[in-house]
Amino acid sequence: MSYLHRLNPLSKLLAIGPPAIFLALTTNVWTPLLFINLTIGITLMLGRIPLMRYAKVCAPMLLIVLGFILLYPLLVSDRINEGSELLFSFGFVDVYESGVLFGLATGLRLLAMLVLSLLFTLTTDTADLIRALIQQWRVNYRFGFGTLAVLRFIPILMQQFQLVKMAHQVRGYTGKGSRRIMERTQRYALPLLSSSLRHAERMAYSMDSRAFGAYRTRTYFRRSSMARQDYIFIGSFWIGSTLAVLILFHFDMLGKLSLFKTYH
Amino acid sequence: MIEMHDVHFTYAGTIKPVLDGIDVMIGNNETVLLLGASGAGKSSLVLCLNGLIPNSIYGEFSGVVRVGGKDTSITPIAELARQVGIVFQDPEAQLVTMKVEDEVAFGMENLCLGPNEMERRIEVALQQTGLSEFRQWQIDKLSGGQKQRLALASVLCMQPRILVLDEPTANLDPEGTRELFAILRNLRKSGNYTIIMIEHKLDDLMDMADRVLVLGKNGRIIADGHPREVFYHKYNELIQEGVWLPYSVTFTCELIKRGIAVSGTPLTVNETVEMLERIRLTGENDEFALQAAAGIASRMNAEAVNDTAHTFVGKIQPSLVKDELAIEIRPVEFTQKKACILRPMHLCVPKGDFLAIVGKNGAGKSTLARYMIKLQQADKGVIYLHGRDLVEWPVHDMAREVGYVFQNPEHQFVTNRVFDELAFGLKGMQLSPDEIYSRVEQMLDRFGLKKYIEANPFQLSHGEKRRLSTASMLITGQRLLILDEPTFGQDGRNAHQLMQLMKELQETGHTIIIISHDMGLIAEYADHAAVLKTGRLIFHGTVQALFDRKELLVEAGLNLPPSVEIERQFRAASV
Repeated sequence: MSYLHRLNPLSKLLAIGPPAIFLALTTNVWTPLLFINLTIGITLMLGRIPLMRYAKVCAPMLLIVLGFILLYPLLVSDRINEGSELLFSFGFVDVYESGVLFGLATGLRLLAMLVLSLLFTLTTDTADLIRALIQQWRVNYRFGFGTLAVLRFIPILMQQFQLVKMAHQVRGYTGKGSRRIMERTQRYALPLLSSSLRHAERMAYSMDSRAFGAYRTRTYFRRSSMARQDYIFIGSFWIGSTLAVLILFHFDMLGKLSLFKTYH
Repeated sequence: MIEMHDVHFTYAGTIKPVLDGIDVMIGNNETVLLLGASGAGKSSLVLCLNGLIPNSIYGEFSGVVRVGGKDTSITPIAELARQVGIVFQDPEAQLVTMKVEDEVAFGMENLCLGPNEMERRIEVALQQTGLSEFRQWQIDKLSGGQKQRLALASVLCMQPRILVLDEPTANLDPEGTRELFAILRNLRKSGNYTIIMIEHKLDDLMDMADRVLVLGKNGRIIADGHPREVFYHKYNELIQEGVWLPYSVTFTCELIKRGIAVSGTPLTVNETVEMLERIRLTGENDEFALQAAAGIASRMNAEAVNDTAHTFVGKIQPSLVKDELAIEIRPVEFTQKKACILRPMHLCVPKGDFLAIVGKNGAGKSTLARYMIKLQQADKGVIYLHGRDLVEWPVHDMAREVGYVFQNPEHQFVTNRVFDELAFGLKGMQLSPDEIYSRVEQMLDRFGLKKYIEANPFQLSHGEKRRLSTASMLITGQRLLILDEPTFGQDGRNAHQLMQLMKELQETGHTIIIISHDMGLIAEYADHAAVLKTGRLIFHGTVQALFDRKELLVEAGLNLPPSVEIERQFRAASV
């Protein structure tokens, strides 16, 4: 288990929260770019995530970012393009430099927030998060374990969906044609619903017969708490982020801060 | 320990009471087998023991249930959970957490125990169930058998006096079953537990059962006593009821019926062999006894299906060449495209064969069957169906040629009416409505489903659903039928009926392939067996030849069915 895996899930949430909010306010290219590099570096090194796995998770998001970069120059309002250099013009399509920068900034901002959240999701076990939420942030334990049960059920449901698809195929049931779509949905839904209900019922029996919900509180075999390393992590992450912002500011690369970007 | 007085229970929304006057006392440290046909209310009965009925399951309840002297209807659930631990059938639907040790701790956390006490009990419970080395494992990495042992560990740590197991091995392969039973045997020996078990793999349990309770379809206890007494005194009644029986009992009772003087009432394989020995010593023809033994099972089952037996309508033209192959798999990689658990194998299934595919869970049995019907795509030149490369078969023709009955029959239903369910397959065959109607009717009649012609398939009982899905796989005259665990969740009567039907289909020229763990049924019905081990075909030959290969059976995690064991042991003894 890497350093990041060992941390309390909540401390990771607390650490990435403020930088994520700050990033939402930025408007230029350099700030998200710097944060992206720093966060990826931290996640790969302290989280011991293989580069390939990281790339795989990121790939779909990169496509979206690319979409922004290509589309925004065509969509931004004239106010942004005002006074900017015309890069090229094709028929009635004019592409200005500031439009391209705007698209790039928007895409990178999204990517930066994703990369921050990956630091959390790639190194956190869901069960640990739920345990921490219940024990430290006083989330109702019934709700917490309910969520856990649902999470456990999702792969089972997917598997059953595959089985139903196969079973229909064997019968020669394709349900093709757009008018059939309602019928097909119903055909899939019925067996899945029926087995989901059965699963839920069995789960409830099993939990009830082990005294789940018998008392207002319950004890925990594995305690979830903040250790010194958690405070150190939160502190250094915040300080690091602030330093990064100050450096950007010093070199005048911070750009304007704004929540509603369309008005700038 | 447990007292039930005049217990009645009717589920909300139904009329027929599922429990209708249960009076029973179970003493300390008894090991009780609870039997009954499917739908007889066995599970409901055990849910009464820990107060889930009537406290959290809605319905009409009357009577008194006392556990350890406490009335369950007014005792807090936490207190009952300390008395009664239940292990359910489905390993997936009873584990709550992601990690082994967390799962064991779950119940104790609910009881608000301290961490030191939990630590101590976790260690003991994992040791009792042989899971100590898996303590830090993720649950989804465990096998089905290990998951059931974990479910047992997670109730053991709450230190109940009563253990209830509701078909704990239904989803397990023979190896997993054996391991779980071994653990239960140890628990029983420890003398600390009253054990109540719903189970139909009876042959392996006869040495540990002190008492048998049989719950009838009428919602009452119809037999109660020592296994020897119950099985031998109420034999005919239990057959009628549809209850699974130990093989030794059916065997002996059929011997008696045939006028052979039997001394003793054997329950286990060893006792039966001893009994046969005695018959031989008294001078009666041992060959005769053996032959009778061999013939009995089939005769008995023919009786069981009498009520639905008709001559089959979809007879297949005899013009087909007899030795043509139904399925041929050539020994090359199944597919180059993606990872496949199956290794290249050479497997030929002649037309009219009855083949059983066996092996541990996860050995690739279902995968193999799915390749055979193109649910998984093999490359060109690997699998041939009726002499034609599977790649060239259009999906629609496949559906008319091959039937595949899934483990869960619900998955296959594509209409809202039993009639439509069968008529669906006949669509697009240019048949007149009358023709369709008469074909469907005949098929429903054959499967004993005619009275449900207007019903919704989802409203049928489990056994009926299974029969309907099988019928839907035969309606267009499919010549090859593949069944995935056909007897899963069925009671004895339904299982034998279904298998007998398959045997009849085979006689009319169909090719039958089943995937099953039930070696007893395979010995009775199948001609050939294919044994898989981690994707490799390690044996293909007659079932009898498989039973001769002891080391192979061990390697594949299989066991000898009691019928074969008795025969072999008796032969060995008489030489």
